[in-house]
Amino acid sequence: MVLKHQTAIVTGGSRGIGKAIALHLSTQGFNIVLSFKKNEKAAAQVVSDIQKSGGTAEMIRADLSLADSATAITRTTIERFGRIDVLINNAGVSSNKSLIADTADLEWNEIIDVNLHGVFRMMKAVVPHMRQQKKGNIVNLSSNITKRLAPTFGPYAISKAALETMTQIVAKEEAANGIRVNAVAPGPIKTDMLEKLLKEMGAERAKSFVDSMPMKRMGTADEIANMVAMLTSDVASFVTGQIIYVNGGGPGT
Amino acid sequence: MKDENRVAVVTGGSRGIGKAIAIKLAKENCDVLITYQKDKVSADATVDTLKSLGREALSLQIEMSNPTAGATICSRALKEFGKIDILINNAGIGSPKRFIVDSEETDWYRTIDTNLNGIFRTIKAIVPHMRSRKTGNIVNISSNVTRRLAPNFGPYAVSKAGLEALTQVLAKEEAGNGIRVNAIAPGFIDTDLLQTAFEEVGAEKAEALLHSIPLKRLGMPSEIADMVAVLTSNVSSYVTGQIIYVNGGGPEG
Repeated sequence: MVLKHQTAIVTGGSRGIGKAIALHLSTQGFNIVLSFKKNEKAAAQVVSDIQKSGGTAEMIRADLSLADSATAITRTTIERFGRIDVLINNAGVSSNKSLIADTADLEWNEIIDVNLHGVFRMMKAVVPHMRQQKKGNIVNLSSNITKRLAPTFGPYAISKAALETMTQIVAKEEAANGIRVNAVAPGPIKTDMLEKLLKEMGAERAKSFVDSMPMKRMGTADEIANMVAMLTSDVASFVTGQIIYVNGGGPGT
Repeated sequence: MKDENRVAVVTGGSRGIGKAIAIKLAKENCDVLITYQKDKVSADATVDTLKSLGREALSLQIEMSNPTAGATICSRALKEFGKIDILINNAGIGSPKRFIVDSEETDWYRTIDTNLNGIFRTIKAIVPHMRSRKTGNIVNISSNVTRRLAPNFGPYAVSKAGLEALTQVLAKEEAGNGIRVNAIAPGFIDTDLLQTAFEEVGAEKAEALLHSIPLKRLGMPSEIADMVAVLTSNVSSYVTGQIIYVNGGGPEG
């Protein structure tokens, strides 16, 4: 059991923003436990990248829509590293483009299940350890969508709005236990997920969306990881319950 | 992430939060011009500290409600340092503890003039220079009072709410010119100003206010300065138009 280093859990850490966060926190000296849903190869690559640069990382397959995933991730982390200092709730799913009233129940349930219940269960599983340590740091990944509130992204926007509320309440509830809780809300960030979304939008609409961002560009995954790392550090020692938008001045239209 | 040889202007930089910001920016390789209203002894001491960190520094006595303050600050900084990379609009005044409708007109005008119009004029003076260099970074110091909206702080809260709107609009307008604009809204920070305010409200009320902060402590000026350093660095390259609350989680009501 390694006790030397602090330990961070990054859900959905195999690709995109989660991968950038895992790599960044590893350079800060954290042991990393990353969860992935499907892409084992990508997850293994992140673990190997971390190990090559002298860090320590574990991966665990977990579908966060399932009720026992959170306890499995937490148990694995405690067994391997003995403590949990940082929890990054990054794993999330976006919705298919449909109006709220036309959204299939199954899809609605899946989005709320992963993006909201999944994070709730992660916090329930991890916070007791942090309370015992009298120290902990949680960052939830929300989305710029909570400012845009654009049509056809309803379930996704609603799950993220609820996540932000949860962030603000848990921050107050756990402040006395030395636990800080914040959220980062990214705008359009260059990832596989976004490329796919922009393709669905069509070239013209995608261009007009990016052009509607004041900075007229997409962000990079590193620009999100920078902010997450800052929030988990002592630089942010008086910051809790905040939603930080990293969105190029957005929200864009 | 230290950029080489930047120039920063910090208004109200002789004491408290402004002083902490000036010192932090000097450590981040900035030459610094601080302004002060009255306290020459403190301003001189701050300049000495900045110089002892190996940076160029000077102080300028100026009243932010003076219509020519912005232009004077700009021309002095350019004359001494040749450029301005960073503008921190920190100078501000509180308003006497009265209901809005019972406030003296002179107090109302003075608060709005210093906290809002003064910053408008400083921005108007300095942004053309930043535009010409296609780079610039502005951080406005707002206040947690924009969330509390407590009675008896009306003029102050109104001036800061106006400042936050200014921050958000300006960020969008100048993003195309490479200028990022953000605000920090501090909660209760341990400064002379706050100690005076706590003495005015009495020990019991002060204790209750302290207790209403989820982190159950005052913030330190350095915790605001750290966030200013983050916002003016490339860590925040995709962050503009944001209001960052550094308030220990509240109070919000």
